[in-house]
Amino acid sequence: MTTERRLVKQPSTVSLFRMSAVMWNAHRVHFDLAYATEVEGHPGLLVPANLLSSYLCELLMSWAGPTTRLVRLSFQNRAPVYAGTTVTAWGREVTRAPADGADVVDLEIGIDRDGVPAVTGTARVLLPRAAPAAG
Amino acid sequence: MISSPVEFHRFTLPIDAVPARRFAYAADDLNPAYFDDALARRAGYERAIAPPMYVCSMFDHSAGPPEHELRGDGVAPVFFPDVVARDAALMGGGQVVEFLAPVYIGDTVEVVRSLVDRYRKASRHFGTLEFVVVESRVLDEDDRLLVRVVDTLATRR
Repeated sequence: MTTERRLVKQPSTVSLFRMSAVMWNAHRVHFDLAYATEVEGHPGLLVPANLLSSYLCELLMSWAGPTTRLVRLSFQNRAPVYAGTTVTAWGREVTRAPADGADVVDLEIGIDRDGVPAVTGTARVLLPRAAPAAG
Repeated sequence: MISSPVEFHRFTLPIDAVPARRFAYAADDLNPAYFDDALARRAGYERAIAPPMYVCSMFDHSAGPPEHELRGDGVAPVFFPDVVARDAALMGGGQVVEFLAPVYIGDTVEVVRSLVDRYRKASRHFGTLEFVVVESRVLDEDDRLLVRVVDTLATRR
């Protein structure tokens, strides 16, 4: 049976503002609604790609509990996501193989909004099979 | 096509607890390993770690620039290489990230950003886009590579 997991998120205007603030990034499409809609033609505030990828990281880093290690993340943005939209981050195991005391798991990943792929990609995580050494 | 990477920016980034944890809150990710040393150790880390996308998202660590030096879209010019037109609209095209070692709260890293490629491609939603590919290498104080990010940025005018 293929292991799949999902995580539902709704990026709010507040989270977009806080993300821009901590990055010291004044890209107006993420917090200035008049600019995003009237100048760049978006229907709303554009969710930054790193917020979407953070959702994927949250999903992956807990794949088999807190000792899961994220090794690689590769994704492409297929469609824009706007603030207030409900999105589903998902992962699906493709292969799992033992290697050096851990299981190496390769996954297909993505983020969908209203059933439409907004982000697609792949990831690799390590699942230690014994108590891990610190690091 | 770019024949070899061209470094356009590098900066020192202290991995301070407050901004790293603000990043986690902004992303609505309350993983205890970001917030608590003891819980991070129980997960096998030496101490609390930064959220993985934190270092991947920081393009600079200066106090500026003043507002009049920002592009019209609000982006600081130093964030991207000079080949990105000042009036181009920007969108993230995708990323490939290799996580080679954890980035710990309290560490200091060096981020080195280089232009590695540029090309044009048609987009279903936005017409023809110019893509700029940027590599970020996140190094610890011993120059050990912790994270490697390859960012594809889509631009349109």
